[in-house]
Amino acid sequence: MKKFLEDLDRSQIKFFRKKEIPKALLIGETILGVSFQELGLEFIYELDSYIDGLDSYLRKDIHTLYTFISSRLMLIIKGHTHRSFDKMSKMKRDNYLRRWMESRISIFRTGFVTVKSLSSWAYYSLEQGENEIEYPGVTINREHITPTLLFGSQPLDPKDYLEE
Amino acid sequence: MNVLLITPETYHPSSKVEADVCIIGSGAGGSIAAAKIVKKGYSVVILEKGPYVNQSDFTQRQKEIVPRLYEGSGAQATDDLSMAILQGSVYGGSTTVNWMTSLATPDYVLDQWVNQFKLNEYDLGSMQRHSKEVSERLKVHRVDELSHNPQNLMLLKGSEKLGFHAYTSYNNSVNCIGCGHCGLGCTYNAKQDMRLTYLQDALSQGIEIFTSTKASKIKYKSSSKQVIHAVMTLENDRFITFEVHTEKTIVSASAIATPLLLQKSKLTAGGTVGKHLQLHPVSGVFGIFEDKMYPTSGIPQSVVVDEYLNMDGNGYGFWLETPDLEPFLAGAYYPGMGIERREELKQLNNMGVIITLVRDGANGKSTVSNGEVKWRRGFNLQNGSFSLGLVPSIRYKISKPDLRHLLKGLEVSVKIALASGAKRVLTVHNQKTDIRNTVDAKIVHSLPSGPNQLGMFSAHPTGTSRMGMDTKSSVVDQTCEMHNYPGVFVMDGSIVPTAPGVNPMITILSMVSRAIEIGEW
Repeated sequence: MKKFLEDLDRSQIKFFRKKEIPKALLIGETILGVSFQELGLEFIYELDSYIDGLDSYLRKDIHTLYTFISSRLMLIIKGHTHRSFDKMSKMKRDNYLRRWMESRISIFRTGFVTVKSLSSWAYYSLEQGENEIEYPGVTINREHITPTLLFGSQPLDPKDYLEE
Repeated sequence: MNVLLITPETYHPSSKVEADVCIIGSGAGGSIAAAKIVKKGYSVVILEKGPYVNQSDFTQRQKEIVPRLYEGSGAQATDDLSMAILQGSVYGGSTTVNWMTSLATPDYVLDQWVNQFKLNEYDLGSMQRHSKEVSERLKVHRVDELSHNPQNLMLLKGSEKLGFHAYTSYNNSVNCIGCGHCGLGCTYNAKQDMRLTYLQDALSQGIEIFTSTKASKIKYKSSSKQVIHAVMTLENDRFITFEVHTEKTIVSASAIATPLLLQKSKLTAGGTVGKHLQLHPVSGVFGIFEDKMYPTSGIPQSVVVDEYLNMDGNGYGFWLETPDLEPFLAGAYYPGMGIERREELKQLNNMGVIITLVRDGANGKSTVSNGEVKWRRGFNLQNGSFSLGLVPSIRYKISKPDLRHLLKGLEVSVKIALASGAKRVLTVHNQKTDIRNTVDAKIVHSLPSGPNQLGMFSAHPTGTSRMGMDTKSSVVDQTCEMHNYPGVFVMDGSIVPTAPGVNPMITILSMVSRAIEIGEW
């Protein structure tokens, strides 16, 4: 992780504190099922940029959440481990976040939904995420067969009716 | 040239602006009010918090559009974050980013308003006349049946197979090519939103519109004199302030922002402002098919299933539609986590999504609501946050009958997807479901479905400054004027007395149109 973050351009980071970045990457890795190396630094830049645009009171709450979710106390209570969040095994981290997701105490689920939504936003806004789900993407400046959507009984692949 | 559309780039600082009428917000309510009032000879100014946008701004890139055009960058939600509330905060309001569905208010809803709220001016005959007028202006028409995308065809065919009533819906588009990006603003100017209709009408008659300009407070001096404090945001987080001196004020900032502004201005009408929030809670199912469904392409919501709209016999129930599934919505709501979820999401083009929208308020006492919008400070138990300063708070608890309707909607959606050939269907519960036959569809009723156990969102907040004759339980009269503050009007989704049970754009336009007709303008 340390080596991975050596290439991070700090000037692009407006929201995250230094210590939060590895946590945000590992939470993203666990929820999205994409290794942090594969998520890449673009994921952090996108996540940071989105959160930075939120209202100030929400930004404060998100700082608190990232601290809380990776705190020793929470890891002992809900993760049943003394290890720090970055040093847990992938499986333990997965189990830990699942406990947040499935907790009977609603505030934990609220925390989980927040990090899930933020991580999903960042990843599926990136070209990498869009390509992965084969999102047809923008139609601007592509030539259309009009009307585009005469699907008939068999749907058309958007690639067939949109020409580059 | 006299500049009528004033953006931060064209604004020449002046500490005072004067107008007969100041309208706060350029969404459906504010736009039609402006177009109608300026025709009567009043000078009108609109303050719009969001940015001015035109066709060239609609890049179809969610990461550029959502933070710029949606309230709270798309992150607005109830305090417990169990329900995201999607609203446009942009020139044209939510009509710029909605999914175009244009349905008139159902007759039994109007009957309820007449019988329960004594809104005799909003009977079926009057509202039909105004719905017709606004629908003509917005070029509302039935969607061409050949234009259904696979997802809507799935909903239509599945419903027909099971004997559920379904119909091809209406929308406000012209020459729509079905790019599937309605929620990001219409790149092709096909959607006849407020920018292209009532705001154009108003501008052609000579109103002034200040964009990127937030009304921070209304100072109520008298029934013919109010002063509005306005803040225009410039580049690099700089801003300038000015005052609008006006004889009448129309607040059209949305069912969330309007009560917050009225409360901040201490125009609270005995504490009713902000109460009675209705959201039309939405949840959904993902059907996974052998064939391609392309849920991110095509015209959204072109089919409506209304079989259960009056499920309880009192006018409450649910209806089904299909979404404009941008990747961020799919990512946020697809259930589960980890590698398995990632692999499943790779099949997004083979998924058909059906959403259930609930007409909320079915608690047996429909004048009581579970939702409230207000300013709060201190510790918020709903999400564990703490704030010394005042922050906006949206509280909403779905009632048990409404939740029953929502879960029934999911059960019916599962059956429809399976009847249309889905191999398996997933609800958006935390506890992952994988339903492969109709017998198992009932399982949705036994899964934990509390806050953040079942994914939900809303795009239809209404009711927080509702219309009524009783001054204690409502905020505005039939002309939309506040009971306790003559000269101040509310004209947006806030005034809708009970959830309309259809996508609310036409309801809001028709009500405001009617209010201006019967008001002293």
